[in-house]
This record gives sequence, C-alpha cells and structure tokens, in this order.
Amino acid sequence: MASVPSEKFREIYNFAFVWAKEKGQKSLALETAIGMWQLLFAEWHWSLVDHWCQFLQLKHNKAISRDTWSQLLEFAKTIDLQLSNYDEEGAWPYLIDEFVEYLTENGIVQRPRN
Amino acid sequence: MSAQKRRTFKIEAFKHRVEIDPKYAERTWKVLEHAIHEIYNHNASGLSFEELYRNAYNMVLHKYGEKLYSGLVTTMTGHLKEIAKSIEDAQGSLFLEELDRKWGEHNKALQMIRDIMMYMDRTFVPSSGRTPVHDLGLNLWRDNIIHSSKIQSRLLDTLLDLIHRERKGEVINRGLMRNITKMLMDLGPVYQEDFEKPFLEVSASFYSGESQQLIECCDCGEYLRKAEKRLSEETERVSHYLDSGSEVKITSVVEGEMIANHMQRLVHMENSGLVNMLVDDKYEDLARMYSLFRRVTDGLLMIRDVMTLHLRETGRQLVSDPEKLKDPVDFVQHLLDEKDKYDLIISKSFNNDKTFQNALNSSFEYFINLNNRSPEFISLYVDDKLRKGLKGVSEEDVEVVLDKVMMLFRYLQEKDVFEKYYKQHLAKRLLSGKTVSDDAERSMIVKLKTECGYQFTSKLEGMFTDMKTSVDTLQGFYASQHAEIGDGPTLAVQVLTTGSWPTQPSAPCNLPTEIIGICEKFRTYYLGTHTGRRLTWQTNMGTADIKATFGKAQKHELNVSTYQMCILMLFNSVDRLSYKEIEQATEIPASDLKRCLQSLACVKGKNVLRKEPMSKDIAEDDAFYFNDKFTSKFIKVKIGTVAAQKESEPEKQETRQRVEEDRKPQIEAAIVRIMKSRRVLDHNTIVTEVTSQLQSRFLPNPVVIKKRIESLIEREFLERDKADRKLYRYLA
Repeated sequence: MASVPSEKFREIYNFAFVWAKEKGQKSLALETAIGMWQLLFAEWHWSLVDHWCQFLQLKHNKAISRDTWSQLLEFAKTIDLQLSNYDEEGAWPYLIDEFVEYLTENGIVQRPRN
Repeated sequence: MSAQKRRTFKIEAFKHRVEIDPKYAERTWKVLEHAIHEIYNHNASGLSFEELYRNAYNMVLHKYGEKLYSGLVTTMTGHLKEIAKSIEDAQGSLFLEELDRKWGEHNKALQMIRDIMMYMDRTFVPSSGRTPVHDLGLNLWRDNIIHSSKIQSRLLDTLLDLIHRERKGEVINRGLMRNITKMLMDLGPVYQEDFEKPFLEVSASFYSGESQQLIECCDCGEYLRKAEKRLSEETERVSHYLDSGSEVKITSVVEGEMIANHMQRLVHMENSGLVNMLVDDKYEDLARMYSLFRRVTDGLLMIRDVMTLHLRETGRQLVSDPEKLKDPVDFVQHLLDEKDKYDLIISKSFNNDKTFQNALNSSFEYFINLNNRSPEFISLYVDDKLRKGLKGVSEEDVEVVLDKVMMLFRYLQEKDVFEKYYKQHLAKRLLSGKTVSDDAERSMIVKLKTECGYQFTSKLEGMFTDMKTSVDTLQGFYASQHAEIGDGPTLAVQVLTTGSWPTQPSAPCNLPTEIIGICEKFRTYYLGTHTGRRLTWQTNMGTADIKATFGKAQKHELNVSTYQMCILMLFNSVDRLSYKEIEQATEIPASDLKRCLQSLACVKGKNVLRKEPMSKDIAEDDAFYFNDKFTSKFIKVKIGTVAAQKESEPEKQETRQRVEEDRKPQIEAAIVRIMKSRRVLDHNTIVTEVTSQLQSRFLPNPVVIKKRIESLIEREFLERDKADRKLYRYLA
C-alpha cells in the first residue's frame, strides 16, 4: 500500500456519490459510478479498481448503493492487495464479498490459505 | 421443732487391709484353668457355673485381674495351637469341614468362658485397656488358626478352588462355604484382606480369560446372554455364601472384564452386532445389550452413537434414492414406518430412554432436511390421506395418522415451504370437493395452529370460510333467478378471497358461449350485492360435468376440468380441429393445453378425442377429432386432471423462487424488530438473532440477511456506526 488516503480525499470521495447521482434517486447508475471511480482512483491509487469495475459490469450490472460506495473506500484503504487481512465475517457489503470471491476464483489474487 | 444440728453420716472402709493369701490366688486360678481345659474337651457339663464365676470374681476383686487375664490368654492359646494341628492334619475336603467344626466349638467355649469371666470383662478389662474376652477369643483364633502358616494359604486356595469349580459347573457345599466366610467376616478385616481381595483378582483373570474365549466363538447376542448369565450367577453366589458388600465389587469386575473390555468389538460385530439387531428388530437382544451396557461407563453412549450413525446413513440413503423418491406418498410412508420402528425399539428395548429419543429426533431432523423436497412430499402425503387414504377410518385412527404427520412436520427446517404446498394442495382438494372428511381437514388445521401459531393457519381457515360463504352465495343466486334459468347449464361457483388462496396468475381462457350467459348473470348478481369488489374467473381451477353422446348413441357423463370443457365444446360445431385452432379459440396457455389434450386423447379408456398422428406427445401440427368410437363400461367417466401431484422441475423452481421472495420481508421484519429493541448491534449478533427468531419457519441464509441489512441501510432504517463499521445503528 503506497499511502493512506487523506481525510480530505475521503470527503471528496463520499461527496462525489451525492453529486454524481440523479436527483431523487437513492443509488448511482453503474456507468456513472465507474467513471467516477476511474477519476478518483487516479488521484489516490488503488490497483484493484479496474478489476472492480470489470467485476461489476460482468456480475452486477445494476446501480450502486451509497453504503457500497462508501464501504469500497474503506475496503481499498484497509485490505491489502493479497486480501490476506480480509475477513468473511467482516460485515462488508455483499458485493464486496462477491468481488473477493471473483478475484480468488479467477486467480487474480492468490489468497494465502491459513 | 427446733433445728437440730445436722450430723453427716460416713461409712468408713476397713482401717486394716484385708490380705489374701497369694497361694489362694494360685489355687483359684488353677480351678479356672482346669475348667477351661474341660470346656475345650467337651466336659463342661460337670462344671458349676456359680463356683467358677465366683472364683473369677474373687480374683479380680483381690487385685489378681492381671494374673487371671494373662492366664486366660496362655491357656486359650495353648488349646488353639492343638486345634490348629488337627486342622492342618485334615486331608482334602475334610480340611474345611474340620475348620468349620472347630470354629463352632471354639465359639461355644468362648461363650462359656466369657460368661465365667464376666466380672473381669466389666471391670478389669476396661480399666486396664485390655481387649474384652470375646474379642480376645476371636483375635487368638485369627492369630493362631487363620494366620497359621500351614493354614492361611491353604484356606484361601481351597476357597478359591471351590468357587472356580462352581463357576465351571460343579455343585459345591454352599452351606459350608457360608459358614467359613461368615467366620472370616466375624474376624473383622480378615474377610476383606485375606479373602475378598485375592478373590476379586482371581475372578478378574478368570473372566478375562473366559471373555476372550467367548468373544472368538460367539455372536453378539449369544455373548451377551452368557455375560448376563455370569452376572446373575455371581450375584446369586454372593447372596448364598459371601458378604453382601462383595456384590457390587464382583459385579463390577465381571462388567469390566466381560463388557467394558469388549464393548467396541461386540457392538461392531459383523452380522450380529448392534446394527444387525436394529435392522432385524431383535428386541430381546437389544434390551439385554442396553441393560448390560448401562452398567459400564459410556456403554449407553456407544450404543447411542452407533445407532445415530446408522440412522443418519440409512436416512440419507432413503432421501437420496431416486427409486424411493418416485412416489411421494410411498416415500413419506417409509419415513413414518422407520420412525415407528425405532419408537418401538426405544420403548421395548431401551427403556424409553430420553437420550435415545433425542438421538432419534436429531437424526430424523438431519436427514429429512437433506432433501429439499421433503416439505412438498409430506404435504402430498397428507393430501393423499385426506383425499382417499383415510376413507372409512375411525376418528381416533385419523388422529393417530395426522399426529404422526405432525411429528414429521416438526422436523422440517423449511416449514414455510410446507405451508406453501399445503395451501396449494388444500385449495385443490376444496375446489374439487375431493376431501374424505371435513373433520379430518379441520383437525389438521388445528394441529398446525397449535404447532405454529395463528398466523400460519389464518389463510387456510380463510379458505374454508370462503367455501362456506360460497354455498350461501350460490343459494342466494339461484333464489334470485327462479324462472330465468330453465334448461341452461347449472353453475356452481366458489368465490375465493384473493389473499387466502394460493395465487396462480392466470388469465381466463375463452369460455364456450353456452356458459358465458349464466356466468355473466352470476357476476351481475354478486357485484350487485358486493360493491367495490372485482371478480376474475379462475379457469385453471374449475371442473365441469358434461353429457356426451357417442357414435352408437351411448351417453356418458364426462367429469373434466374447465379447460377440457372449453376444448370439448368446440367439437359441437366442427369434427376436426388442429392444435393451433384449439389454441387460438380457447387461449389456454400452451403447457396446460398440451397436458389437457394429452389426457383427452392419449389415455386409454379416456380417449374421447382422437389424435392424428397417434403419438404420445402433442405437437403443434397435430389434428384432433371427436372420437365417435369411444367406449367405457362406466357411464360417468372422470378425465379431469386437477389432482395434486408432484411438481415438475420448472414448477418446483417457481415455487422455490416464490418462497425465497416471501422470506425477504420476514427477514427484514425480524431485523427491524431486533434493532428496534437493541439499538446498536454488530453484524454477527444480528445474524444469530435473526436465525433464532425465524427458526420455527425456516433457516435464513446469512448472505440473504446481509442483503436485507444493506437494503434497510439504503432505505435509512439502519446506518453503520461511524467509528466501527461492523456495528449497525437503528435509525428511529
């Protein structure tokens, strides 16, 4: 992990969701979300962002909820790239659980088996 | 009276000492010594008790107690040594007899001696801390006879040998044995030390050897019978000639050697072990195993574990065997039979042991839920019983069957799936009027209500209410019509409240013109009396009785489904219709249409239509003809296909989907309930609580619970805690 995102970045990131979604909608359209993520994670680098976007287009294809949006940053912030500190009982949104499954099943990440 | 001076009275001892002539003491002792000799020589009759007693008394009185006591010890010891010799000289079996006889004589002598020495016993003995005469006599016997080097081991060997022979089947002198062991018991710890301990050791090695032999040549049942026999023999032996305290010790030795050491091997013995006994209902053998294994540590645990494993395995096979799953009613009957079998075993052989009942229940719960069609099949079983199986059965027996079904129901994890199917099947039964007994139906509802609460059955009861109300409505309808109906078809309508009945979305098909008239009349009548309601004909659920005349003017009455009626009525105006034409005219959905045509044209004895080509399957370019040549020996022919049957794969998927959909709001309601009361909770605890709250209906999937939580977050019922993302907060 290169660095920890600043508090400022976090504010911007979470604001981006509110700003980018349609007025009156609760969730953010997938296309828009992906665009925002590409932008934001160019600022603060997260190497799994492309896989994340691919996964969503393949397996989810629906809008993104606010909780998923904000929890993704937590995930990117705290979980290392080998997913060694990812905990199935960690109360992550189910989409993120499925993303981890997707990464391991497709051999993109070799999780250390303990 | 004046006070007199009180004078104290005093009794004074002799001022001078009364001396006894020392020779007097010696003389007195000699008299007593002689008496003891006489007593031991069986010449006591010539003695004067009074004189001897007085002599002993005088000696003690004149302070010669010590001389008396030690003289007694010496004299008795001398005699006992002679006695020892005579016992040692006894040959073979006379040994014990001689010992016994001498013991008896010694006791008699001892009693006389004690009587004579009673004054000494009461005065000199306690004050000098000596052993009282009786006990002294026993101790001397012990030291000089029992512990004599030539007697001690011979005695033990003789006793053990006799016991060994008796174990081998010989008859021994039990009375003599009893006397000897009683003698040992009288001597205090001698019984335990000198006899019991070695007895137990020797017995252990005897039974160790015997059990080794038996386990090689006997089957399990035989072995257990022999073990039981040995145990009762040992108990009997104790009661006849051993100390009662030995019973628990010797039985524990036998239990250890014969049972505990061979438990594993016995239970798992090929062709005769526990599993074979269970399979063959060997009640007696099982009862014996239970009562024997109960005596040893973890014996019952072993039986229970092996039984559980076997049950789970046979159960698992039963619910995964495609052969057994072909007929749902049969399948459930198998389950009930299996339960009956084990209930009987537990009651007859396992003493109604609760832990075994629990093992049985948990095993059934395990394998019944391995097959996710169990709820459907159990409902089909009930359907079969209520449709015809319970015809003519007494009320009590009906209750028995229904109670057994309820017991299976309790094992189901997915009770909500059962509810769905039960509703469907009940609807069909009610609408086709094919129920054997209204009371039985009601009884089943009551049982479900008792088990699951009012909510489970409120809709079912709604269905019954609708049926009743419909009867009244229909009466009202016909009363209002009187003259206007005439020769037209007779309509019987059941008005179903949408919420109570299983929803099966179906657009009504096209009804024949002959029917439409009266249907509209009914609709008008009903909506006239019930404003604000909407009626939709459920053409996929009805039945019709139609009269048909065939080629040679035979008349038959056909009982068909509404769909089938629509199809058949088309042939009143034409003789031939293609599949496509029928589809267009009736607008019956394709899969239903194919099924109906099949039952009208392809079933022997019911083929009122003829199909070209004559294949079994319905193809889109088939043609259908009215079958002039139809015959049946019955005037009334039933062709309807409204009976409940095992769902096809696609139907099953659909039902499962609906069940999953229904579960979502239930899970959400549980989450909200829990969070409302607890306010803040971590994820895992929510999952546990929700599962426990819903377990009487189904087992919720943790992933589904998670999705529901996220949905509730999105709808702002909950939020994540700002500091700890694993905690959720309830938003008021």
